[in-house]
Amino acid sequence: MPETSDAATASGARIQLENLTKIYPGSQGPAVESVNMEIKAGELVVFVGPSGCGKSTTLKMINRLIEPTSGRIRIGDEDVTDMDPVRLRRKVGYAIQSSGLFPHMTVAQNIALVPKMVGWSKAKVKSRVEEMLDLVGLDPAEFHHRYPRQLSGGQQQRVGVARALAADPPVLLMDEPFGAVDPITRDHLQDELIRLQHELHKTICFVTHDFDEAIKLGDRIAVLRERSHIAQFDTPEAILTNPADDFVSGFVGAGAALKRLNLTRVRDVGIVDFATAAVDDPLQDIFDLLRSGTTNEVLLLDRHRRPYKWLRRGDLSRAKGTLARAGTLVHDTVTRDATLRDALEAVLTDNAGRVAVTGRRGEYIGVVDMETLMNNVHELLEADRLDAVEHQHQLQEQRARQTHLAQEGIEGAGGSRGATA
Amino acid sequence: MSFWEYVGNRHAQLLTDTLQHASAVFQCMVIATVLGVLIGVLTYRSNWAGNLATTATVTILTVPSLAMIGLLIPIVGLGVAPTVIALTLYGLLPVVRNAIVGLRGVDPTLVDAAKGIGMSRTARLLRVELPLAWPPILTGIRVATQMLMGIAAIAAFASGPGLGNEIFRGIASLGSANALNQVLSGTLGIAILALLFDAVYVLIGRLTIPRGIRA
Repeated sequence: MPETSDAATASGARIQLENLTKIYPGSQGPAVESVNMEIKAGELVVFVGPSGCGKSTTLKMINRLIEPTSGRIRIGDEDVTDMDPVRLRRKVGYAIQSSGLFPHMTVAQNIALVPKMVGWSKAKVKSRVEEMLDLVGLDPAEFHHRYPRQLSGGQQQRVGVARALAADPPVLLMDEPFGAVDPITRDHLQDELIRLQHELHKTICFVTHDFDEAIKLGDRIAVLRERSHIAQFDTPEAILTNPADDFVSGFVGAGAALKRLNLTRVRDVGIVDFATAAVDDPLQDIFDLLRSGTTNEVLLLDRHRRPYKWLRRGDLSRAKGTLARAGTLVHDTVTRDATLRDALEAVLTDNAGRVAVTGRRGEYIGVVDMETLMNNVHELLEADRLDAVEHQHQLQEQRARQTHLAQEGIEGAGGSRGATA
Repeated sequence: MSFWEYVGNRHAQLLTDTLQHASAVFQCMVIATVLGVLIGVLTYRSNWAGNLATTATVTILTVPSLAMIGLLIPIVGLGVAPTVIALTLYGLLPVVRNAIVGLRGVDPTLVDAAKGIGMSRTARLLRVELPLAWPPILTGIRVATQMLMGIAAIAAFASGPGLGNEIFRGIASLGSANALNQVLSGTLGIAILALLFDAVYVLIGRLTIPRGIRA
């Protein structure tokens, strides 16, 4: 599992929320009621839920932009509930929608803010700014002296993330950071965030109302309903295949199986071998291969072993024995890193229902067809379902054990008190 | 005597009056700016305090300047004191109002961001809110200065400094040979000073408003 390996190399810190509650003065019910959650070090957890469900409030209680009415917050091993909020916030990165960059400061000044506040030396701050710009994919020389309004929305958001990460905080809070950019830019930024997280292993809390964004980014997703009640807190796979209740399945929306395809790569499913021949092979060999009866189609590879043409039994004779006119050109291939959704797309558009899988340099690796895809998806969904059921069992057992221990603990404490008295 | 001959003859006196006029307005404006921004900073976050500050300064402005100086003379006497007090009070309104409007107009998400990245209350005010509110505050200072230029002329009534003396002398000796020249030179002097100050403010704006938020 990636989670365990992440935790081993994580530079992030664990976050624990205990009975976190917020009641706004003058309102009847709590805005957030008794949230209990543990976020592992180096994990990217997405809070997702309808607007007004309190997900943003919950997030803002972690860096105490909103003071909790009751409950505890622990980051790492430290209880930060009563810590000086200004000091706390310098250790917790914060990125918000529409970037929140200060328009009167240059990009460099914006990024340098937190490192300067925590007292880094001038030289260190300067090199850090360059490093951060580099990290988020902006050329330092070009963007250093620009003002936020001279940047596009996507670039502003990158600088916003750079500023949040500048003082190397173990925890990063992101409040709908990609909500205000166009879909294409959002997609890029999401990919960037995934890349960043692979490099940095921060503990990230990410708030969004877009479930697809949650699936794409989250190691785990917390689906929240009103008052920030956790409807389900689990991996994207588990939520897609085994939603806890009607609320979650309603939020997952239609096409859970299709969304599931986004989570699996072609490399994870069976790639079948296909009869191949090279363009330089003697024609007779190809004839023999096609006539041998084991296959009625071969995939012709070019000199770099890249898929070139699909060749059927009748094609060669119809084309009067020349390869140049025979067969149909390969118009689409997928890589091993493509999602199953991409593969399905390619298979569906192919008139024979298969697509060639290629390696890094475009060389032939195998073929995925409709049948393998279907079988694999069925197996995947079934495995997910079993996992989820088992997971729920475990949770129940754990809970039962905890209540048991708690009861015993109380008795034990009472007993020892009695003994010392 | 023609107007230009008059100016030629009296240029030493006129120049002193002009300098005194400018210096009075400048000094009062500095005090008004400091006080006004301070009042703005102290009151902008509370609805009623902000409104109270604005209303109070508006009320001061409705008192005719001549009456204000007349009222101050029995309390602080003649000369510089009533001039400085009156000018400062009149200068407050535009500064206070624009400071409050400017500070309240700072995008709340930016204040949220400033808080979120760990800026203290003072840092937020000095490094984010005031710089962002500075353009409207500067406009307030500019408007106040234009106003004070005219009001400073009234200060001569309380034997205060400035070009007002020229005008008052002219009015007192209406019908005499130089009456019109005196009024005219005082008035023109004030107009020229006002234009010069305005030019300086444009320059100050260029120098102090960061490129990122310049209109």
